[in-house]
Amino acid sequence: MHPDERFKKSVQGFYAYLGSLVLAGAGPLAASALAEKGQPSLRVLAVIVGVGAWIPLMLVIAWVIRVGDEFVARIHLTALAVSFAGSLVIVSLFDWLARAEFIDRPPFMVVWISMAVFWVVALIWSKNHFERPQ
Amino acid sequence: MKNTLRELRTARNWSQAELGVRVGVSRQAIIAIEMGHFDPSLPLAFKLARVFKRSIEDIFEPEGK
Repeated sequence: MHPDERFKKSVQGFYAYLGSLVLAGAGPLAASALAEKGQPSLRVLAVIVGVGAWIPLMLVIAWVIRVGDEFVARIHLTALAVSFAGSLVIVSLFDWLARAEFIDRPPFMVVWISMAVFWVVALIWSKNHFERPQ
Repeated sequence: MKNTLRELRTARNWSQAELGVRVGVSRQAIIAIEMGHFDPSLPLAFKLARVFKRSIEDIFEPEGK
């Protein structure tokens, strides 16, 4: 890939990433407001907006992995693997804490927000791990 | 994996970004390879060997060897 084209793709990727992050952040807020309305059509819209808010971010990450070089792909794939494992631990931790009656069963929102936070933390860790100084 | 990438690159007065352009990866990728934090794929190792006109074994050496 020509350096100018690579730079252009990097800039495009950055703005797409930023935009998708804003959507992922704003989507659940909008969905919460819609879910509290009484009308069924607005509640259906809440479900669509709430779930759909994640799709752009996932597509952007998939695009970055596909068009980025192998180093960028490694960072993201490692982060995804770590966050999947971490999420599994978090979900099972909540489940067993609830079954053992240490806590009440947490709302799903706590679970998926924890998973999203774990993904961000895993990405930061992965980037620092591969780009650490000697 | 140990490698002699930094020595080969500096001998030609190439920057990490310049080497990245020659083999089609980012400057960060070159830095990570030079530091030994990231082992390149076989196609990238071949590209690196080609730009330095060396064999892969001249550039990369397994840690335990």
